[in-house]
Amino acid sequence: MSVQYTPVIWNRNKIFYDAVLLIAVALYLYIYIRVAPGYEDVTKPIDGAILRMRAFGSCAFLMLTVILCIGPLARLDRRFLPLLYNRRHFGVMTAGIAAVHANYVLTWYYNFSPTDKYVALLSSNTNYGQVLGFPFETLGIAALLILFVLAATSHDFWLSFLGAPIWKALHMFIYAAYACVVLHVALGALQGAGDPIFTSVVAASVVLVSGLHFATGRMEARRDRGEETAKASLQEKGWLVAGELDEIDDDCAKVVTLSDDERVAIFKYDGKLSAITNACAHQNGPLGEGKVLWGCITCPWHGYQYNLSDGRAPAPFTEKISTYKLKLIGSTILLDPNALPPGTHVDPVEIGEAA
Amino acid sequence: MSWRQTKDAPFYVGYLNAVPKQLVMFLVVFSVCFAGGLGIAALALSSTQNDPGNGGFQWGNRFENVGVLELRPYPVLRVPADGETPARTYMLAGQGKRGAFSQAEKNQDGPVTLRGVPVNRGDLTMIQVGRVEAVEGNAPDFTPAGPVPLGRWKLTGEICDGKCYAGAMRPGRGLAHKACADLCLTGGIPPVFVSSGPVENRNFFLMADQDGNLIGDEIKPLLALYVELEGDVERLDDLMVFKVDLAKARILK
Amino acid sequence: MQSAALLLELGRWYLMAGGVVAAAFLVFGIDRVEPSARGSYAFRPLLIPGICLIWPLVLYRWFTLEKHGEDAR
Repeated sequence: MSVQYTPVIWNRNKIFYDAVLLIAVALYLYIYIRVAPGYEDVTKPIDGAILRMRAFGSCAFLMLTVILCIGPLARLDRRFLPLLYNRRHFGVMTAGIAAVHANYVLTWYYNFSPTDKYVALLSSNTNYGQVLGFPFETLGIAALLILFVLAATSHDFWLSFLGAPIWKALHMFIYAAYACVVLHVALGALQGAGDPIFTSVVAASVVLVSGLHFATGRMEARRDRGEETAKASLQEKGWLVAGELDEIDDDCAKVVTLSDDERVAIFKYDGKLSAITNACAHQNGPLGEGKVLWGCITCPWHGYQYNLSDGRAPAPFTEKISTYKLKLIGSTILLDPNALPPGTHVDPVEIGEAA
Repeated sequence: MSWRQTKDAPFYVGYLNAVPKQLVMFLVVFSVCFAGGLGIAALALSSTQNDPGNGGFQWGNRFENVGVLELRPYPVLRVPADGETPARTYMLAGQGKRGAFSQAEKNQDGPVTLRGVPVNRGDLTMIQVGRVEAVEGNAPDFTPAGPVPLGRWKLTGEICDGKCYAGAMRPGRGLAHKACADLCLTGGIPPVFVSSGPVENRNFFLMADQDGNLIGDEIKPLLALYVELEGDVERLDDLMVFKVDLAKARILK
Repeated sequence: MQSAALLLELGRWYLMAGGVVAAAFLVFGIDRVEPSARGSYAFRPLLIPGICLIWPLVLYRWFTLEKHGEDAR
């Protein structure tokens, strides 16, 4: 997007986002490590290192849970979209917190021994055939490595350099990381003497994350099957009926589905109609759920913009997306389902009298 | 909720500093719930952690005793009876995750003065050995008593490393601690069996293999799990020794 | 124990190779394949950890972009 890359592009909303995040995490750690031990029912205090290991580990787990909920929540209710905007900072911070947890484990359980701690980490328990007593640390290492890779490749440079498909595929590994973390906890901490609260927190996290993804998946599927699927026009051969004019608000769009992975957004603005692909070039954000601002389509996810007539990002940006041809018969909008090459100019359809 | 964007719906663009009014309230409420939720979770998770018990280093109660070092098969210090106090046997460990084999092997010839720090949990005492010096001159004549056999037993419980479980780490048992226990045993710290049922009112047993020798790596898959073990129990003064037939060990859960 | 030490040694070599790739890419490659990076230097150190971790992928993309230009994006 940017003409020139900078380490981090800051703006007021990001600063606010990060501030809330930092305050929440600091509060969690402070209460866990400083306040709550006063309420613990223990004969002698738990080791400081073990307390902090648990504080940072559980904090990273909860953060990862929230991160994975943001996506489906924003699909289910657009008011959650602001959480998506700066999610990468959330992810980077989670990787950092998880690293602190790992460091406490290394410098406590694996320390004070004649064996090198990294060698000990990999070699002390190798009973991979056991379920109980499985070296759950390995699962934690795998998750941490994934978090490191994702955090290290979160800059926009990587999206552009690797290309969207590879970048997206790489970042889907967040789900693998979550699965590893859940197993890491289930085979490790949860096997200790019964701790009903921690067990319920982990169970709630799994139910929440999978439930929200399931609900969103069903909504998307329903949407693809529903009224928004374009039907072939009876009068005009090769064209699809995309809907009626009055279905679309000014400066907004209607999204029609062509096939499973192809959706088109038809925008109405200034008494005109234009159609472009629904997928943003940045991260496949749903452009049709965005709005027209200053004459440009604006993606609801990160605010990437495109000209309506040719699908090109306004200079100096260089992104391009596919455009489609439209025509209007009475108040019925017809769509040519053949996508034009990204950046192709299409004259907008004037609404005129029909509106 | 409708997918369709409408003219009146608030629209958030991250890089525009102005956030739509309808969203500001929502986001403030969400932020407070998020931070508050994490705070409550921290309180709930941290304040309900299991009690690691009263084990710990007795820094204020340094250990200094004259006795005889033996390998049974792990290093122990046999201390003679003294007036009212009966003879005692202490398990020994080195600094960190190291055993006390080298000190024990060097000083087998006669009585020694052993200084260290006790790590203690109830009946279980492990001495972290500081300094060992041979007693010069007229050493007291002392022959430690032999082991008293207490028969064959089948016991359930957990195999721990004797030092962490005694309180060098709190908590020092369970699967989260398994790797540490593994390293401790590799380093030469004696394995201790924590039985769920007592034998002569004792729940802690120094472990040995069925012939009374050191236990090898075959113990590792059993560490930190709830297991059933079978073997002969002996008493060395006040220390119980469990000579286990590991081939018959069963993991219960 | 031996395989653990071997694994760590491999990891060390992997990261060291990543360091070499990072140096080469940030000094020569990035300007050739990423127009937006031309003239901006402050963000480059930020890329080092990423390159060290996924350097085989970086090399693959570098060669693809050199060979096919913008079409490969």
